[in-house]
Amino acid sequence: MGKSKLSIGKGLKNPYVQYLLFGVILLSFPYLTEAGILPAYLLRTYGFVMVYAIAALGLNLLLGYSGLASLGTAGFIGFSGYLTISLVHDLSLPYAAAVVVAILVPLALGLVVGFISLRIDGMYLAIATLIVGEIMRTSFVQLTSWTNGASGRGLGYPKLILLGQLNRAQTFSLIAIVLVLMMVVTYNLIRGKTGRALVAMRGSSAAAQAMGINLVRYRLLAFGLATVYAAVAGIMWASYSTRIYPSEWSLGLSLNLLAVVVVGGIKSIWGTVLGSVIIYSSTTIIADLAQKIPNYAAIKSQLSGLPSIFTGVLIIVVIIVYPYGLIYIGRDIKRLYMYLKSLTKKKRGLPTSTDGGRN
Amino acid sequence: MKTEKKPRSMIERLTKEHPGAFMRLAARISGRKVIQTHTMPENEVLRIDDLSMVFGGLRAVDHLSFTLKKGQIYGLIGPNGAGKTTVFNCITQFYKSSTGRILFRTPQGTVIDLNDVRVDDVIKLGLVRTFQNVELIKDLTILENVLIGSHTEFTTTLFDEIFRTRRNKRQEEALANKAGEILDFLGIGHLKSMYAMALPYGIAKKVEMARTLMSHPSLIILDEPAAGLNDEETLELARTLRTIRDEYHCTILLVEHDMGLVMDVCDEICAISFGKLLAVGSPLQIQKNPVVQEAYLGKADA
Ligand SMILES: Nc1ncnc2c1ncn2[C@@H]1O[C@H](COP(=O)(O)OP(=O)(O)OP(=O)(O)O)[C@@H](O)[C@H]1O
Ligand SMILES: [Mg+2]
Repeated sequence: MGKSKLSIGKGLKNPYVQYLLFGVILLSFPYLTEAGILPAYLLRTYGFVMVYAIAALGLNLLLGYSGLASLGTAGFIGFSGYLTISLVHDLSLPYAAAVVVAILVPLALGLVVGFISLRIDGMYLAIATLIVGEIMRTSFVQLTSWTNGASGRGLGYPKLILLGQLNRAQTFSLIAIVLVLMMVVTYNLIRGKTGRALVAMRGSSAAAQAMGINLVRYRLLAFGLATVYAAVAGIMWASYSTRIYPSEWSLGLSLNLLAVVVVGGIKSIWGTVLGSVIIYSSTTIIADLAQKIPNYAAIKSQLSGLPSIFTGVLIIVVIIVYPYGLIYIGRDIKRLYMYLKSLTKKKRGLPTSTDGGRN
Repeated sequence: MKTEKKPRSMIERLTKEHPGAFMRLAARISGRKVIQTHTMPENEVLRIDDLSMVFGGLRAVDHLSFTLKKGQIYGLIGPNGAGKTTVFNCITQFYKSSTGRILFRTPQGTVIDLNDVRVDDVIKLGLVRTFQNVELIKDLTILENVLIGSHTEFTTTLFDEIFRTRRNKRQEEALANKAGEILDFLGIGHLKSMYAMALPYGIAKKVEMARTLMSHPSLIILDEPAAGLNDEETLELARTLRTIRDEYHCTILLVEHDMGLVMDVCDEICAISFGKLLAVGSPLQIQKNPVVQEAYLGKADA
């Protein structure tokens, strides 16, 4: 009995098992909401939380691992969203084909930004990517024939090759599967040669170069990866929401994704997921609460910045209290627990051994 | 008279090497360049020939020449600011030298001018270095830091990594084992899963040394490997250097202020001051050389 418990515990330590379990939990959401165990709005919220997580995983590769700032994420998400919609509706391409194009075209643009990043660093890079994002957002506003302007444009739930037309719950499941796959891919990348190279590039560019890491190549790779993640998020976003609007792809969204990484956990896959839950839920809750304020219609424009103020304050607080993100609280609690345990043991005069807890 | 200050840009370099626009483009796309081969005596590994490096008006290295023979432990000494680190940076292409050739014999036996090589390609030729201010990656473990040294040994593609193919697993495992062995050899194998943060000097230097050994080097250049070490650690370092030379069949070039170590371990020494050559010779000859003594006058360890 004790042995099986141990092996389950061991299995849970395996990240792949964790991701799989996470996927199973997510896939159960549609059933739980249908059975009335979970409130129905959670399906909508968590659909977007997952989309946030996909984009933020890419941003974490860029910012957390490679130390390269980007404030243009929203533009890329929107770009691939509109691309998917127009490829499917205007060009009547099958969903799968539209997905491929909606990844490759933003990728090319992302690599251009990567080339810009070869010349600039730090804050200037953040500003440059911000400008790229704003150019894209303005284009979405202006190109009304393509984006349908402020009235928005919808894709509808995707129609897949073998599975046919998906409904809302199935689309939720599709996003869940994509997210888990992205988590696995991210994990594979960061634990290997590429992950080490990206971290080395950030930690010491001199050592990286002396050890044969081509900075040009890995910077481009980091930007390329982040763009692919953003593009996938954009496709999922367009697939899940009834309509997308140019106003959604603003700096505010890019900052939210930045907040996901910083608040959740720099260089942490689970941190990114946690951050997505915190940031997406809190900003939507605040926006909802604001609507309950009496006289809301009259002061609406003044309240629209409320969620951003909240995330801004949250970023500052987290950076001061937990500079690497809230996910690391768990690790610290565990350490504290181990420490306290070792203290009590010493008091009782028992020898402290590593497997002392098995009784 | 040449007064080139900044390292040459990629485009500038290619323009010089490939006069035709088409060749330039092809070279740029393929990332390959036609590298001219040179000749030097069979037993030589590195030949610094009339090297100069100018920063603004300052000549940090001034028409310097010296030669390393295969299997030597070679010392480069000089007072603070003499230009030793600058020489290292020129050899490893962190700086593009203003004048001079840096001939290097690759393990395959061809002789090339390192000035034709990109900074991150230098290690692929079997030439690897450490840094005066120990450049470790703080948010990686010691083992991972050492694995960085085998970056160019991996033949896996991005595809292999994303899908964690057998090839990827096999290489990761093999190189991690090799890293473990090297760490054991240096006596810090038990620390390999520690993060390379706030390490004592002695250990940090060993990690950096282990990192250089991952890439099958034929020439290792060490910038002040004994700085910050205590007497006992310095003695151990001397033994380690000899073992590395004998077992890894490396030639070693080192910059060092610890004269005890230099005189003990080096086969030949080059002394420089203000970027200029003072003398080349055996430890005994250098010790007795009046010009060298003068350059070091007032320095306690001369
Ligand atoms: N990147 C640089 N830009 C401008 N000047 C530099 C640069 N690098 C080195 N120098 C100058 O070149 C001279 C030689 O410096 P270098 O670091 O090579 O000396 P060193 O012999 O390694 O000294 P130390 O023993 O203190 O390490 C110094 O005057 C230094 O200020
Ligand atoms: Mg120096």
